[in-house]
Amino acid sequence: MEQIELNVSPRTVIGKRIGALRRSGSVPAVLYGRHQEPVHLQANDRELMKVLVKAGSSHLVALRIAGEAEPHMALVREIQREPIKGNLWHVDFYGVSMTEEITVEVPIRYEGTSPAAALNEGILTYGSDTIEIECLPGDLIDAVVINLSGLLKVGDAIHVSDLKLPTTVKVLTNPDDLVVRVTHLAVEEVEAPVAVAAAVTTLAEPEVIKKGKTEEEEEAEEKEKK
Amino acid sequence: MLMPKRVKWRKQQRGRMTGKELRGVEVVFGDLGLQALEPCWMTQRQIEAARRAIVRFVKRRGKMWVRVFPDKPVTQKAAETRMGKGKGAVDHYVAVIKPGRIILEIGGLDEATAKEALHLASYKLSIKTQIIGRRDLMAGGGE
Repeated sequence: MEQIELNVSPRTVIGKRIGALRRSGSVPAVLYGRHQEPVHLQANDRELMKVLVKAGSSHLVALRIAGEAEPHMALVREIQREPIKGNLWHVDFYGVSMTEEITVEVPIRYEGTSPAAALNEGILTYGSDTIEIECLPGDLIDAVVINLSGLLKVGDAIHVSDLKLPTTVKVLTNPDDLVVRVTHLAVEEVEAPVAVAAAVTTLAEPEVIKKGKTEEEEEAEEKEKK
Repeated sequence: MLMPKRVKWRKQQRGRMTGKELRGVEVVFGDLGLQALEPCWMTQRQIEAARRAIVRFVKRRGKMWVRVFPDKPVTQKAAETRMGKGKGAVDHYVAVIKPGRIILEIGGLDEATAKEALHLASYKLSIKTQIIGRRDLMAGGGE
């Protein structure tokens, strides 16, 4: 597995002054782990973005903190973004020990095309996008690649148990969980303009949730008293 | 049309729509999504019209998700009524939309078709929107 490196520096700016840091082209980050104290960091936003695209959530990143000789091996745990432009707001790194097993969500990637979907006989319905695995950090895999060319007819499916993974990796996701299935095409919706017009003119009132006891409850209570 | 089945209170105060949305801002179910860039009260009719525009265009292919629900009642006084005498009757329901909110998602289609479908749906809405993809934390993609 190719090693991805990121140069970061310790961060002294915390709290409300973070806005100025972001405007200057840096992204705040934090490194934490099981056997280490949390460290506030900052990284160049362009460099960080390149690393995030390359590494994803299941590739180790060697964090080179300015002033420290040894790099810290870490996984990208969480990314916070500005909701509209998608600019990075904050990144969490999870420091790992190379001798301890870790649990990681690995993305599922698809290759090839399903003959059933290509012929418009059905559509592909996807289950989970990721599977959970447990392994040593050194044995991590970037992604699980699935070939869709085996899905020949409607009803054909691939489950987690069908995935081929290295023996060093233990799958934690339920083996019966669906990954991808060919399902029937959706039923075409027939428009009913008359019904819609009626619905528009008479807006049905929703039921109001009443406080206190209902009549049935009161009756039941009275019976109990008797 | 979309509207609540049960409500705790029949009428609501208007409220404010300041700031950006912080939840429901990522495409999570489909491949592409329609994101609001302005705040608005999106009526149940607008949501239904946008949904129908997509259904008509994609026919039986793909899958669509409506990520907003009109749960806020809007009242309207009857025409030529003098002021006072209490709040008007519930006229329709709206979804409160703030910038960043994903309104619709679409999946299982090629990119060009999905974009065209969302583009057609955007004409049914009264605000500026943008089409965005997934920003997953996934190696080699999503960014």
